[in-house]
Amino acid sequence: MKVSDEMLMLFHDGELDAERARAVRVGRLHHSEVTARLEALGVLGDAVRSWAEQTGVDAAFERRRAARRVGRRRALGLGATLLAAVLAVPGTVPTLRRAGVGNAPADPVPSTHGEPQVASGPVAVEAVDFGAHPGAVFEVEGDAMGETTVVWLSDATADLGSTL
Amino acid sequence: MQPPTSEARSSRSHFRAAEPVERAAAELELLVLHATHDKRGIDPRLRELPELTKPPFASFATYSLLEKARLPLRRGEKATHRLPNGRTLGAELVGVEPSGVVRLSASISEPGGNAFLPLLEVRAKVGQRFIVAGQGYRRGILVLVLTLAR
Repeated sequence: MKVSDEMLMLFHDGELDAERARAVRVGRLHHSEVTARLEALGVLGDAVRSWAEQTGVDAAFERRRAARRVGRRRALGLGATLLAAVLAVPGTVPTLRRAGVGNAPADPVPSTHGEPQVASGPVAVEAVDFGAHPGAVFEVEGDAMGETTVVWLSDATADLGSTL
Repeated sequence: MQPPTSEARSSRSHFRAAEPVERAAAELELLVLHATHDKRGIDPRLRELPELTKPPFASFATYSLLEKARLPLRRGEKATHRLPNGRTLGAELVGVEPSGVVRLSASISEPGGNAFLPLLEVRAKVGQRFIVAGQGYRRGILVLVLTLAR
């Protein structure tokens, strides 16, 4: 059975049906690459979920905004698949302050005061193109400088599904 | 001084005004960390990175410092650094705003030249850092900590 990224995301969240979950477990035993993908996607999912909980931004709005971003810059292949998978997982909502999630290239949040200012906030992501890989931009608590911007990019791709 | 690329010229017109290289140059400090699930803890040299103890980084038990490098940033001139996984990190200055905010672009390419991370463009002030993480490496991941050093 082919282990897709969507399967791994659902497995990570304990929402995969028994048969496919067994396939993932077997894959982890025999293919270290499956384990690595699972970990990478799991961390990505956790990060996105964490931000969803912290920000509470309306998911639908963010999805529409992400769609517009895709139209403005390079549209990417896998992304839609994995992003859809991420979005499909309850509670896994890409609500990021400054930039996109999945493969949606990100633009800065529009400013009503002219040129956006970095001020004392975290590093501002002006644009990001994740290529064929799932990714996210979020912030974590840092030192006295404040929050730190994180760009998380997984090795997984849509075509990486391994045949067990 | 090399002229800005055609892309920079077309899309970032407010940076078009020529600046002396010395004035436009900046420097990026790069820390290459290896995160794993081993039980060896965080390298003492990384104590000043509290981010590693916060989610999602806290899900890894071990952080070791693999490499430390400095990348000079100049317009139209990409500085590169080969990563432990064979990929290459590239960074280039896009411009410096009057306020001192530096605009830089970064990318990560595969050994064959294909892009892994085609584009990342950020605005940062000296002393600020950002992290690029998630690439698989030896049963763990690479965490790249990039600080605008000057």
